[in-house]
Amino acid sequence: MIHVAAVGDIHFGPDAAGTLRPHLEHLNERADLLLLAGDLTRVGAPEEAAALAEELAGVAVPMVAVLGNHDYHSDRAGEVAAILEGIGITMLEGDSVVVPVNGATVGVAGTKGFGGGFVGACGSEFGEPEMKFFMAHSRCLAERLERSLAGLDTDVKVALLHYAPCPDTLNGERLEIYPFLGCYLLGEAVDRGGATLTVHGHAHRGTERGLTAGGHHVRNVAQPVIGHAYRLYCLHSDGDGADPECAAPASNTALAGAGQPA
Amino acid sequence: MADRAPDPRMLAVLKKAVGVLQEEGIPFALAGSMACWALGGPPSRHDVDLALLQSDAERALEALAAAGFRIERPPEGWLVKVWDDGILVDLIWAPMGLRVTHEVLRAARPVNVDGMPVPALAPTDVLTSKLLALNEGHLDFEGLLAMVRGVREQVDWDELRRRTEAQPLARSFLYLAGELGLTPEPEPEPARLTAGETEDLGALTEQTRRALAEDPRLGQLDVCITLRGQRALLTGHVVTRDRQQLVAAVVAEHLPGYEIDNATTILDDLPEPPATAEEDLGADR
Repeated sequence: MIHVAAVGDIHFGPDAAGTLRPHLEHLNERADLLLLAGDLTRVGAPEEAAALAEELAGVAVPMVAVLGNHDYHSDRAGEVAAILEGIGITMLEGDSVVVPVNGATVGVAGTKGFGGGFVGACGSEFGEPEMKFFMAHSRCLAERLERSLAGLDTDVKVALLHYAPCPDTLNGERLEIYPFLGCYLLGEAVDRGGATLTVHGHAHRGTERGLTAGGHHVRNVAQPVIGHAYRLYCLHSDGDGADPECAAPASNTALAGAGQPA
Repeated sequence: MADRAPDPRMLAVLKKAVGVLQEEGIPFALAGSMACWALGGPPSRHDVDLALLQSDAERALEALAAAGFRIERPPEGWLVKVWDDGILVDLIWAPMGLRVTHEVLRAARPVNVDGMPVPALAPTDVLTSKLLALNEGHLDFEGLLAMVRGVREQVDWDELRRRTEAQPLARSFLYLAGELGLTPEPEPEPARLTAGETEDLGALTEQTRRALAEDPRLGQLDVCITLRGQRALLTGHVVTRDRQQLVAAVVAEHLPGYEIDNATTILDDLPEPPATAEEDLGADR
């Protein structure tokens, strides 16, 4: 069994120093890895990343993270990522990492992801260059996520996002802003790539639990949603992640059978 | 109306506790559901709530323990509990939306509890806590309406509206009570804008909201701003107290002349999840 701790939208900065550390000191007694689902800083300033790095240094489980939109705000995302990598956090963007846990392997594929919207109300690569650019960014990140997931040959696969892959976990947010909160292309990538668990953040007023169209578990771990320092999920090493059917593109109907936990 | 009498054991335990506190000279007042009942509401099915000063809590516990009550000091930090005959009595110094002070206790008026005069919190104070405690899982307007019918002349409605303004369920209840003719019309807010200007309000709110997002010190995207008359109500989550104050300062810059009601909540120092909260996401095959 694999115990995953996850949290997003910490929005850390020097003013929050000391608030997180006490709750992570014994994390290794409860979890095998910690996933950080983006918006790690307030405005993506390197000094905010440095404050977070100091706070997380010494957490005794492997940490894997993606950046969120806030972490890009100061146009210094590369520095932010480098500072966090400096304390051993694996930063993902369109790639993946394999974490060995108790003799099993957990593959984590990560991307910030982007907006666009959901089935029936999604933007398209049409019209002004800005609109094409917007939607192409969303599509590219989803395609890379799918490739990273498909390329993982691990006992369990997890997708780590900042933006939402399905509308379920946005319940509570205003419908008008759904296209800024996530994109169904991410959900398709999860369904085709076969992730037992997908965690994301970004939607502070959303809800924790949802499913992709293909029936894969999605959890919104934005801190205001979960109301705790992190959430804990238990995955089984001989579960869905190893199912070869999940890696093949298929219709939603077929995926519902292949992807749903037994 | 259904039987108005509460559980006789509950009355007996209440009277016993009241006797002990009076004997000790500890000022207190009936609060919560039992106060509602004593003021005309439905009988309490839960427990007995007594309001007292935080500084008297320890002394009250000792006296009640000596009288045979089992005592409990829970970690909540706003009440202590005593038990007798299977009945729970909460001794509360900070009920929702209120802090028990000498002034609050002085405003208490005696009510008749099964033949015994017992001071009860002022109806405005009782209703403040009751309305702020409303939630979607416990939305009993029936009992509140029954109580309001009994005490409507004794309620400071403007004060109650002010205290509960941030709670949508409380506002809904007060609207309903108004439609039923149980509350007086609220004092009209002084007109700030002429008819032609009202449509600018939305734009003004949006401008302020965007300023919170784009302010380099904040990057705060999820604070909701609601304008009512000359008050700006802020809701949502922020991470630290500093940011909460900065949010109010930025809003004040953009909405001069508005009184700011900062109801944002702070997220620092969130606890670890309890061990039982782990979610199992897949069975072994």
